[in-house]
Amino acid sequence: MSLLSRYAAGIRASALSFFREPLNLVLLVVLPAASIQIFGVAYGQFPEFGFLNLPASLDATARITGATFATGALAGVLGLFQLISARDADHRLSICGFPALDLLVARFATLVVISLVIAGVSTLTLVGLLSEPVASPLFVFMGLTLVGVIYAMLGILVGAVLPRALEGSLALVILADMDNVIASGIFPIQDRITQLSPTSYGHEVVTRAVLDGELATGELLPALTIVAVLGGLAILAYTHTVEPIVSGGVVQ
Amino acid sequence: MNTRITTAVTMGLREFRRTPALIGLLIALPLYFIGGFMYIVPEATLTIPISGESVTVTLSEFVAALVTPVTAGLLSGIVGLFLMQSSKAADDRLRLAGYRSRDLVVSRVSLLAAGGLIVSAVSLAIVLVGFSPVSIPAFVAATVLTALIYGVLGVIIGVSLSRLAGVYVMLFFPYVDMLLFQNPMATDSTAWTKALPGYFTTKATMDAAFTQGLDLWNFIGAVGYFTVVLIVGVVVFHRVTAIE
Repeated sequence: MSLLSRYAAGIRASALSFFREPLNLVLLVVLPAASIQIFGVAYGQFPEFGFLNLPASLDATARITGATFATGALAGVLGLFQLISARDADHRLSICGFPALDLLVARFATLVVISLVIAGVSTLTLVGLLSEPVASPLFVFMGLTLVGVIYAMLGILVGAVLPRALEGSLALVILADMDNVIASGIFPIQDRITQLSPTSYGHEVVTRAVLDGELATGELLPALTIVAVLGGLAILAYTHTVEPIVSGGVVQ
Repeated sequence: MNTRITTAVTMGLREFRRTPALIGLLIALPLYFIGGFMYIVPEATLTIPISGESVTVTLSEFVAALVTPVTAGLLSGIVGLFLMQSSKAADDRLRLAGYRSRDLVVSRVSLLAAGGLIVSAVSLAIVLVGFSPVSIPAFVAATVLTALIYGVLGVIIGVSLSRLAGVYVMLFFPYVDMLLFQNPMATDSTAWTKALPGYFTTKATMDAAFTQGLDLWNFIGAVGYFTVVLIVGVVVFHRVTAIE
């Protein structure tokens, strides 16, 4: 079997294990749509306050924030549970001689595929629900995919450091909620803090795509850097998790 | 309390004590969330309507008062979610070993209450370093009630939804409920938001934080809400642990 065929088989098996559950498919459609709508309704209760200095209307900001939140949080939770559930299976496969690289490509590519699906659903919902026209749905989709991939990597990292579902979920919940508030731009928070928010650049890419139809190249580079750094760390964490430990020639 | 219940609660607490990562997270996460919010918001004042009065507060104080119950609700909700999911197998065995459903319900509710109290205590310890509510006992009571309500809701969601959906809902629901829908700045709230779990507790928290007068109806409403969700939780738990 060629290298590409092996990768394709791994990705298909990994993706099918997720997509064959009807509930998962329903969640992928319902949760982003519900989140975007709820954020829109929730922000609609706020009159314009003096300290709000938003580039878009409150409704647009709300729904963009809902879209980035739903895409990021769902991909993050999936990344976390992918790692936790695959940990033992992949470790055993690795001991059996399955190349760690194949396993890694299958897991990561699956998360990218799922992030693309969530970003697609979120983009369509955003286009449908926003009261103003979305200037560039394609760039919105790109920005949301970036946010999804960033959180999928974060989920893997959290799962590698905290490999139990309760602890991992606690950490991810707090990270995602804090990040969402900072990235939303609701508070004029100092720039140096905003730069630490994983999705702030992705959020900005989406906002510019919605408002101006431009690809925010100034934000795209930092966002891709975050993807690269988190991806590198996630690969290290995953490899450390699944590789058999060899000590004195004995596989442990 | 009979020995079966005390044994189950003691074992649950011992299991908790054996997970240093969890203990560390329950301290670090509120510190990050509450401390982080208090640190990052700009220096500004705002006038908010609380119990019919217009109160002028700094943004930092306002955020401290608002995110404390959010933190307690988020963390205890997740603890409730996983308490149910992780104890299912053990509870089935305990039922076969002779535990009555009532014993299991009381022991799990006791554990949940312990989790809610721990989460509330840590959140309150962090917020009280940098912020002094007008009425500390009332502020503490409102935060604990939030943790208990969301803890039981976590149990119900843990039983009703898959793990993926459950975590997402607990990630999303307390956040939009208390931080957005019940936010005192949200002056155009619609009537249905009063049915959300954070309605009474957030009003009680804000009252305790910033006003002299205490509206007891908020606490009565919160206790009533807790009682209702607890009854639903007990019924759900009873059905899940019942032997066919």
